[in-house]
Amino acid sequence: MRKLVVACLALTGCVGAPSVPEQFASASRATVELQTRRYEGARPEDVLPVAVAALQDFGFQVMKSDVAVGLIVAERGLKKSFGEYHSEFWRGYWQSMRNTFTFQWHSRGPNPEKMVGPAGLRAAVSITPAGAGAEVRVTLHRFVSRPTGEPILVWAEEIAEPEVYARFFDLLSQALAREAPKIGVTP
Amino acid sequence: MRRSFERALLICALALAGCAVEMPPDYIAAKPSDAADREMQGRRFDGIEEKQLLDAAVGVLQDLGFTVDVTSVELGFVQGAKEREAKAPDQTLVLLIIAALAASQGSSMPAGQMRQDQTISALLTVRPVREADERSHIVLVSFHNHVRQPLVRTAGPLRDPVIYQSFFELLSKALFLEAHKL
Amino acid sequence: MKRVLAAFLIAFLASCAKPGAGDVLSGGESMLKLRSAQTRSFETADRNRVMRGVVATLQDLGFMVTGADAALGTVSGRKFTADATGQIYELRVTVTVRPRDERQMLVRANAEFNNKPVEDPTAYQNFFTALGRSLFLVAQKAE
Repeated sequence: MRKLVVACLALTGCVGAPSVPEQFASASRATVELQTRRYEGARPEDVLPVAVAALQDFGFQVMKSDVAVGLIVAERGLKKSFGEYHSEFWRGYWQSMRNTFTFQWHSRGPNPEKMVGPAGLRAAVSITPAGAGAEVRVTLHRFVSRPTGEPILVWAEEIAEPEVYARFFDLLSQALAREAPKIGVTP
Repeated sequence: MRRSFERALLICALALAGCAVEMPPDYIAAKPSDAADREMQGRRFDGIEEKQLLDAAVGVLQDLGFTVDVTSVELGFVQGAKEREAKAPDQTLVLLIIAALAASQGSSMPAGQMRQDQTISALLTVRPVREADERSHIVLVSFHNHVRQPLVRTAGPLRDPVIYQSFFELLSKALFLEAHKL
Repeated sequence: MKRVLAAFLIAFLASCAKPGAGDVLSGGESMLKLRSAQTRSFETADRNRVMRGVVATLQDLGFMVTGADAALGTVSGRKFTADATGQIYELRVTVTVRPRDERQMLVRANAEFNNKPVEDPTAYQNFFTALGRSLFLVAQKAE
């Protein structure tokens, strides 16, 4: 009997343990690795302008920067293809149909504002000294701002596709290699 | 009701997704009318350091209710903005002040420029008149507005000379210096 | 009836298609071409003078300056205009100034019109012409 009580208590302990809300869960190791690259022999202040040039190559507009902290925040518009609009529209349509027929009238499909407002891409690049080199971390977010055009976000998500980060770092490595005689970097 | 409205919005978005407007290439180019604008937007100040000019300009913008967003002493400019939400009738709008100033000089402001729910931005740059002359400067200020009401949407430079004239009067008062026309 | 069914089938298939990384960060040859259209060099070692010229040029062309970093060498500007129908157009531009060698500054501008990158070389040419005029220097092709 006592064993049963202890077991019950132990179980409630498990259930009651506070879990970290999804928004505050720290990024998985895999994600961090995806977003981070280390360049040996490069000083962070030399890498910064090269990172700005790489962002410009991808069409980003610099919004904020701080050389002392080693941070650049940049944004660009993201043109959705016609196919993407269609697929999102119909997905939302099916979701609301499904909700109707399963009597879930209060749950909604994908956020319609997500499709109506102008879409964009935000990049935050931080460059920190690491050993004898510099560590570059980039995070990318897709976002949609208000349909009326104010810079107020209605929806955002982190980009998880590895090939997107790979493309960014490919370009950055090439640019750093080109600058190598000037700043002496070995990626 | 809300659903169907959203659906209508979505269909509009789908219809509009196909057609994007291309920018005309001369949109960035300098235009012949710029010379007249420059006369309106610029004044010369003699016998003063650039830093003092910028400090005074920040003060005048703040007096007019602007929030200064970006300043750079190295690059010699000040950028500020004044937001006005539709539901803030007790706030004094920069144009109300300037309109009062203008009225005292016997001019009246067009009512259309005092709309609510708008952003007015101001950019002020200081340029040397001659190189190596550190006590003579040209101050150029430009005001833009951006109105975002559901039915009235406009954006662009403010072209009323009274606004610029009033601004420079405030600036010369703050500096105890005369503003010379270009 | 058949037509309605067909429409639903298409809709169903479309909803299954998952959008990929697609256009998120694309590059290639057009990027190189665009880079050279966006870049010019100026015969001066004075970086501050070029950056002041950039701010002045942006103002002359009707932009507001939304950010500037003298240490990093970037200036960002933005310009709103409206046509008669009340449609708002937004043009954003980022200009960077970097020393190329001891005698030259490399200026690069990239612009975005209504959330879409500006790819017309003439637009950039016009910007550099105006910048050259304000600096009393001639913009030279960098490559």
